[in-house]
Amino acid sequence: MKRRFGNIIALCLAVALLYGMQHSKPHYMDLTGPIPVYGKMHETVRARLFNVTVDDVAFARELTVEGFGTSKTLTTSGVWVVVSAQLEATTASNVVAQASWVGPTGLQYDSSDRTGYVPGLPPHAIDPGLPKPARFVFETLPDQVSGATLILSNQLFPRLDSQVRIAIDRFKKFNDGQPLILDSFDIRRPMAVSGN
Amino acid sequence: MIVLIPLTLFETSYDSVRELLSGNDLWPKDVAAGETVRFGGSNWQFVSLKPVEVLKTASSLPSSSVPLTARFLVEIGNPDLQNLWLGCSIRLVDPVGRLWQPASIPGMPSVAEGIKSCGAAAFSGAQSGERMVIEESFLVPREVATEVRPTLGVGSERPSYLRFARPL
Repeated sequence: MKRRFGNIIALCLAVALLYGMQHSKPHYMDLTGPIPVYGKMHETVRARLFNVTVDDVAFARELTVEGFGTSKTLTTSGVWVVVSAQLEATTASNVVAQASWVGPTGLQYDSSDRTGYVPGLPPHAIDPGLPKPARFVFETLPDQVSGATLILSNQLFPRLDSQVRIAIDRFKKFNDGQPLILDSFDIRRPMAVSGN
Repeated sequence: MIVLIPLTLFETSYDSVRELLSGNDLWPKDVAAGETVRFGGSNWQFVSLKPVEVLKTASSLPSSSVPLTARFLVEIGNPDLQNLWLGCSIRLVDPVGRLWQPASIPGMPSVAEGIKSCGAAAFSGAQSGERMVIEESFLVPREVATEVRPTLGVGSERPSYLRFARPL
């Protein structure tokens, strides 16, 4: 009887311990999630497999793109975001495939697929020693512009690998802090390069 | 416990370790210039790594880059290339270990008939005894163009891979 009682106590303690650990310790998906690398615009941010420098961010109501010899103009009820950056592989050729725009309230917008295949847009194949101009296009809401973060990674769902998170804080804005939104942006426009 | 814990660790990590070893070029085997090596069931000889001279539209290439083409001569041994050459990977490596994969280079002259990439050769249906030329093109920084050398990895030989010396 005493032994049985002891076993029940041990079982209850084990259940309580496991329950406590389940609620107090990080989950497996958190432990094996992306490894954030934080940075700012105009500085080189170094991930495991690539370096990135965000040179410019522009906002527009219309976006003009050209693919396979035909151009098209894309409208939006929100705002187009065009990020211009320099990418370079560190140790081996690879691809930067995933880009997201995370607004100040946490809303996340992945790269727009409305552009179709357009040279200079993701996925970006990059090589060591060969910096490459790259653009990322997002379609978001006007209230998701100020205080946003650009997220870049090699894979769609990085696990135990770098994920670059760049605070977007330097763009053309009015005195009241509202961003300057262009009537239209032509993706064929040459990119501004850091240092120029 | 002494038996169960190691057994559990082995069982849970076995697939991951096997995947790591079979999916990556980890252990190099150096090959002297001009030497022919049996690899993936066939005989491989690294012939040349040369800058590509003719480009129709080189304007879109970075000014600091050089397009290079690596050429191999292969005599097919075991014709089961689809299995033996699975995941065939020819890359360039520089002295500090940086790796370049084959690139699609705008303005490259079209390759001569019969010359194949490694991946295409694996599915070409080549028979035993057949000789073929395999080429891959790369874009590398100008400062390492004379220092890089090719490596070759195939699924049936991984994690070992070949690292070729450049012909003098």
